[in-house]
Amino acid sequence: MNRRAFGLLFLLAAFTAALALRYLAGSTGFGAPSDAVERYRLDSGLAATAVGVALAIAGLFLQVLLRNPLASPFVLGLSSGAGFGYMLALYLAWKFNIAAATRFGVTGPTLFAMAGSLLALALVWRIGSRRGVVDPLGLVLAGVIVGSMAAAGTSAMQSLVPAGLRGDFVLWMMGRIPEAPPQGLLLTVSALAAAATGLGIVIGRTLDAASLSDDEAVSVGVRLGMLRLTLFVTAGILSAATVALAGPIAFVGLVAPHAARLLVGPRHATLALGSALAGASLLLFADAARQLIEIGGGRLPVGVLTAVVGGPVFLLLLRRAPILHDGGGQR
Amino acid sequence: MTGVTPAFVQAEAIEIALAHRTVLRSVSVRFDRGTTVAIVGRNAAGKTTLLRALGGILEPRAGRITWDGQSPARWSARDRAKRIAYVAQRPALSVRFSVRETIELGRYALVDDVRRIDAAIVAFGLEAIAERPYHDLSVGQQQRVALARAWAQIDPSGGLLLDEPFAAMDLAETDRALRLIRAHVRGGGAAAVVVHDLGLAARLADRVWLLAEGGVAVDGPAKDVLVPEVLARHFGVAFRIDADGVPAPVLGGGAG
Repeated sequence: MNRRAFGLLFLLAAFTAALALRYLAGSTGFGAPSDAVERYRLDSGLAATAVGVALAIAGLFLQVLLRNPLASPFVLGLSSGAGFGYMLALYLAWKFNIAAATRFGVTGPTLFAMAGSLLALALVWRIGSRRGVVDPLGLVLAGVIVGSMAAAGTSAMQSLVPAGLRGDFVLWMMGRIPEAPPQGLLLTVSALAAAATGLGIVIGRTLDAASLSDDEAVSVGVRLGMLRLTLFVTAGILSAATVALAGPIAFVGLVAPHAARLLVGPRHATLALGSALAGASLLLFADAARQLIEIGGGRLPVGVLTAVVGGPVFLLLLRRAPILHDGGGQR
Repeated sequence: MTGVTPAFVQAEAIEIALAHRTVLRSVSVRFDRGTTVAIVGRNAAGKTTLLRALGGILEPRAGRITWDGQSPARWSARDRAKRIAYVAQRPALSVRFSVRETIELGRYALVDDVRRIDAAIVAFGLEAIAERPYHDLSVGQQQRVALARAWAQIDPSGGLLLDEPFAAMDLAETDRALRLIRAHVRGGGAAAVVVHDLGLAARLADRVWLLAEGGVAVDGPAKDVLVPEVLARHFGVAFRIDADGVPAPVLGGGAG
């Protein structure tokens, strides 16, 4: 069996195990769920899968787009933008004494967060591109700047609101997989995640060729402008969708593509599928672990667990094979 | 300049600006199949810019570039890949592909063809390192892989655009690459090669474009351009003709 097939089988097994573990692990204890609870376990399992897949594909696309192994949805200021939107909603509701409304199962602050991440995306695109052509380094710089400005705005509003609201914000920023997600939103995010994985598989060969220098990629026939627009917009939509469902969850978008790359190799068609499985597995394991670890005052946020579960696995993989190479291939 | 049949590659009064600075102005050149052109000149003369423009990578601000009388911008990716292969001065790769996988990228827009890939690997003597990661190779070896990628890509009648392909190669590999370029041109293709080493230019090229300050200062047969008087005038150092009949700069006050 070749390395790619073995890697994919391994990831498929990990995903199946993670799904089973999440089904059996709940806030009520470990074991087969009662009929009353089963629905919640299944829904949150699907939510973790959809968010994990979406974040992994967004991370993979951004790593190709920016030619940077450290790229993730967070590098482009998307989570800072989402945080700014969420805090702005809390601030306005407090300042003008408006009750937070819920539309289509999504709360007002969450809608603001989505708008914030999409606005950050548009700004980063506007600043980081010239005449519609994206410059990878320009995008990273624009992401850092927009992210810093959004974070500063968030801090300013935080200093103005009562401590309780600040707590709400901090909790939201840690991300969580909902046990009773709005059905429409859950299906939308799931469909987007599946479609993006399919897109990654279909354009895998183009992503391979785009790893050449710009001039050489154009010379072998890659339409670089169109490809970059596709990757950027897809990654942005996926990130905003995950923010709506689960808040900003760090680490998955960065780690899942790397873990998959070490297991299935660098070809992007296989890597898209591998990243999706790795992202889903990581988030399912983290959410299951969250259910099982009782620390007295409540449960750990899932964002903490993705780092705790994913970090050691990542380091283990890293010891086996180099992820970063000498500067020869980097721009 | 325009003949009855269109030139294989022709630039007509092109002007290229990079970051609002005009790098090439009013450049008109042409070459036909069966010809190897050496593009020479001092640093920042516009050699790489001209090569990129010929390859359709840069759009001229004025003037036009045609291949067989047509604008390559109107070709499909597949037709373009078959007819034009470009190798950058510093071939880069952001993913950890093996040598073989890197060469396969040359077939991106074309039908997968294992025989072409294998032939390119053999032609450039890469059999022993074909499964090694590209990033573990020396720069000279990476240049060979980039050339092999272009060989796997292009049709025998296509044009090779090579930017300093020998810069980091050892002598044996330079010799191999020179022979392969010559064979491609003799087989009905053409090549335009940016070269710093004027001795290599003399061994490689039928025609020379000597660029200076964003324009073509001299355009002529290699035997007329690569002579001490012309070279001394444009490179600012004295030249002599060595025993093989190729020009060599007299550097550091000569051989003592």
